[in-house]
Amino acid sequence: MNDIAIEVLIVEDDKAMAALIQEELEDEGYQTRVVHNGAAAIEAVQKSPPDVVVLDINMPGKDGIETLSEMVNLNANLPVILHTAYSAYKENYMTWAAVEYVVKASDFKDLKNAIARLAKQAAHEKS
Amino acid sequence: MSNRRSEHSIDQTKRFMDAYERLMEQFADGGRLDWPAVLNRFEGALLPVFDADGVSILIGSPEPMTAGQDAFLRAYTSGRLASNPQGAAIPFQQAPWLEAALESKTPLNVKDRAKQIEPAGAFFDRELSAVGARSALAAPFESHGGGLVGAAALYRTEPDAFSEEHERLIAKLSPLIQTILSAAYDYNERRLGMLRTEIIHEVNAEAVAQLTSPEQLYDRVCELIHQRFELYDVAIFQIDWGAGDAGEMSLAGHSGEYFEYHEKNYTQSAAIGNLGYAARTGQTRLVNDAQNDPIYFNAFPANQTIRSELTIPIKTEGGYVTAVMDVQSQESYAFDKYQVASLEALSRLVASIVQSVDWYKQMGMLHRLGQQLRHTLDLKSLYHAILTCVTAGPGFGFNRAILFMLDEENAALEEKLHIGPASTEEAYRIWSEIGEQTIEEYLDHAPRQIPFQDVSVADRFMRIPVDNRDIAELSELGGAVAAQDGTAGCSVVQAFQQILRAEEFALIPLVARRRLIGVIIADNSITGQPIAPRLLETLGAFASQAALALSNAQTYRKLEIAFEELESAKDQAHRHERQAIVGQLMQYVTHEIRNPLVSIGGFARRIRKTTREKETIRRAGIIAQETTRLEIILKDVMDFMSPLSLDYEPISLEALAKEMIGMIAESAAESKVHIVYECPEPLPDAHLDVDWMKQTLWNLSKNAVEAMPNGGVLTIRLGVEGDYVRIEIEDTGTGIQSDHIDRLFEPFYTTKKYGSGLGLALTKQIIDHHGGSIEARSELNHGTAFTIRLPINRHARKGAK
Repeated sequence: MNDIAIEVLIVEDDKAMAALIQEELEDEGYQTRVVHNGAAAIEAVQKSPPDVVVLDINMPGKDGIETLSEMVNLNANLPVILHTAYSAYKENYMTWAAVEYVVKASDFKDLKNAIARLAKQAAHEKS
Repeated sequence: MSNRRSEHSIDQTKRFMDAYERLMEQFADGGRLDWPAVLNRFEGALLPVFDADGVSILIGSPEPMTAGQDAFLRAYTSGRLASNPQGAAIPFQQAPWLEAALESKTPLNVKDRAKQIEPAGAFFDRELSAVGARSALAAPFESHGGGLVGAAALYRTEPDAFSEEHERLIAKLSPLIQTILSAAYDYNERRLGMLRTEIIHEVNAEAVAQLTSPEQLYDRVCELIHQRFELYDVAIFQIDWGAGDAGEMSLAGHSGEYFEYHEKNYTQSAAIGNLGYAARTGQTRLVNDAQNDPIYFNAFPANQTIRSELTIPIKTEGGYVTAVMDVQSQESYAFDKYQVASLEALSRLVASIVQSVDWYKQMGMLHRLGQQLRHTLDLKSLYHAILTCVTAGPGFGFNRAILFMLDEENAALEEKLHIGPASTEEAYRIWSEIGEQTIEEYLDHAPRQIPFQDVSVADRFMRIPVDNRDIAELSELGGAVAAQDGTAGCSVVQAFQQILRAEEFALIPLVARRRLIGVIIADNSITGQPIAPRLLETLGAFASQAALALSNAQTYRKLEIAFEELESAKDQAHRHERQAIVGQLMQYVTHEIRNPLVSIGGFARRIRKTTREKETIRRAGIIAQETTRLEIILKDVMDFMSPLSLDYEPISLEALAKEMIGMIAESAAESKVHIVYECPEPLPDAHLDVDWMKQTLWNLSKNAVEAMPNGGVLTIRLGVEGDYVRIEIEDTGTGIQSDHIDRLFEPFYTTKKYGSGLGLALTKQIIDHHGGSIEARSELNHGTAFTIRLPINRHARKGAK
């Protein structure tokens, strides 16, 4: 599936959750990087842009929306998946320039599907 | 001889002078010249001179009173006047001797009535024989250019009473007698003229005093006429044209002997007698010889004494006969030209007074109603009150009436209420039930609705389309008008005509503050009574009061609605505010719950994946499964709580259904559920929100599969119904009790072990937002079926139920 390594940046303040997502994604064969706040996320993107970003919204300090807009300013083509416990923002994610909006679920099926779609594009661009 | 002659001549001259002086003396005082007085004075002057027993004065016109009738003379005879102060009528043609005497200018000397009846004819038969006269001497006279003729006669109970000398003497006195009689005639004319004026004054005075009851007025009028004209009987009959086959005439007032012993409830048909004739034709009828008259009808066969009858119609402005004045006499030729004219004038006066009474009553009623209407703000009560006034007897008394209000938005006159009896029989039943009530009492009654026979039942509340021209024409009528059958008018008037199918109807525009707000139409289809111009004037006044009251009530209603809307907006705002707070709260709670839940579930899955310990795999599986359940509930609650925001685009339901079948196929196969898809006809694209519609179909299909744990058939059927597409989702599963069907779409109602009870509530919310409908039918142990109807075009949503 992943002949070309796809790197996913996980931005999640809840450390248990971050670890869980990381484990799940690595199981799927993705390379992962984990950060726990917005500032670290911007830094990570500046350092080396990942193929896909999985971004939590509700975080202390710089929240997901702010982080997203800064990321887009840095790299307009960065594919960002908003990954959140809120279902209410579903209507707005496009205006925030996110590519996907996934409501957190314990089976991570939706998240994995979304990453798979983006990974396919990224792989296509890389090759 | 010559001496004797001169003596004779002197004698005669003396006698003439004597008679002349006596006459002059009798009449010189200038006193009363009524016929009894004239007769009395003649007696005083002439009886001693002629040595006679009595005098008879014959006077009248050779011209008939009305074309086709006999001319007759009136006789005033000594000893007869006490019983007949009117004098006896002698038909002119039955006194041929008078014409001959006038021609030859010689007196008539009847020597012996027993031997010589012929020349005297009726004069002797009727008059002189009654006082036992055998001889008579009559001097003819003529005046007023031949318009007035007559004779002064002397009689004796013995034969051969009058000599040639007497003849010469009376011939000499003739010019003076003529002067006296024509003066007396003029005097009596004037006196009757004054009498008429007096009666009219008195009747008017009575009318003013008794302005409330035409019945009492009728009695007084009859009494006055009876006394003043010294008649045998005077009666007034009221006509009820709706009663019986030809109308019924009932005794409304009387004075005199004929009807003396009969109460007011005496009635007779308008088809018979002189009464009926006058009622039907509207013309006066005079009968001089009642017993031989083909039309005359004797109400009381025991009384055979009536000889003359005069019937005069009492007519309203429109010429409608409401009553008949009936005057009877025991004498033939009892009424002279003068009396007929006087009584006709009186009947006109009575008619106008009765109308004034009605008018006065209406004005009083209007005043009271105006006050009552002004205090009614409820439109329905107003419609009722207004039409009751138009139809009730103490009101305007129309047989039927319909009230229309202008619906400006839809350019139509909309019927609000119609009142009236359905048939003549019903009309009488109602009128007799209601009886004598005041308008206020009427208003307490429920209105009687007419099933207008010519209007189809489907049009129970009729609508008449109107354009601006119609509205302008109706408002410019300026007041109530009578519209006749065949009157060319605007199309609305023709529409009214079609509804009522009456010969004539009143068209009453309701104009308030210069704007047409409605129309009342009313007719007298049952009684056929014409609509009097004065009634229309009063109606016009009433209509402006009614219109003002209606307009006020409409304004009030608008205010009420505005107020209600404001209240509900306030409520809604309040509710929205609350909802927003609850929504935020829910967002917070679900977020705070979901994160740990995802962690618990996620790690449970990881444990299940990474361990080989069977029991641990099972236990972790349970945790994962339960977490999933909680997550689903959370999602449903959040979806249900969030305000729906739909994004409509034309989509193919077929494609959507197929996609959904793909989604459900796996779980269906697991439960051995067979999916049947039917779409017998191509469907147009419908304007829907793809995501929500997908969720709806998925919800219903998932429920269906879950209802069939032991297999079954899930049928998805698509079709078109007019402007709607129809989706049916049917299962052969457990079903629910039919009495739970209504609760199916209520939030938190669930039959499932693991359900939030919000799925179907949300589904219904989504369908409602689309302007569609969803219904369910179910049978326990046989299955459940849902039918969804969605408008194809977004603008069709308005009409959805």
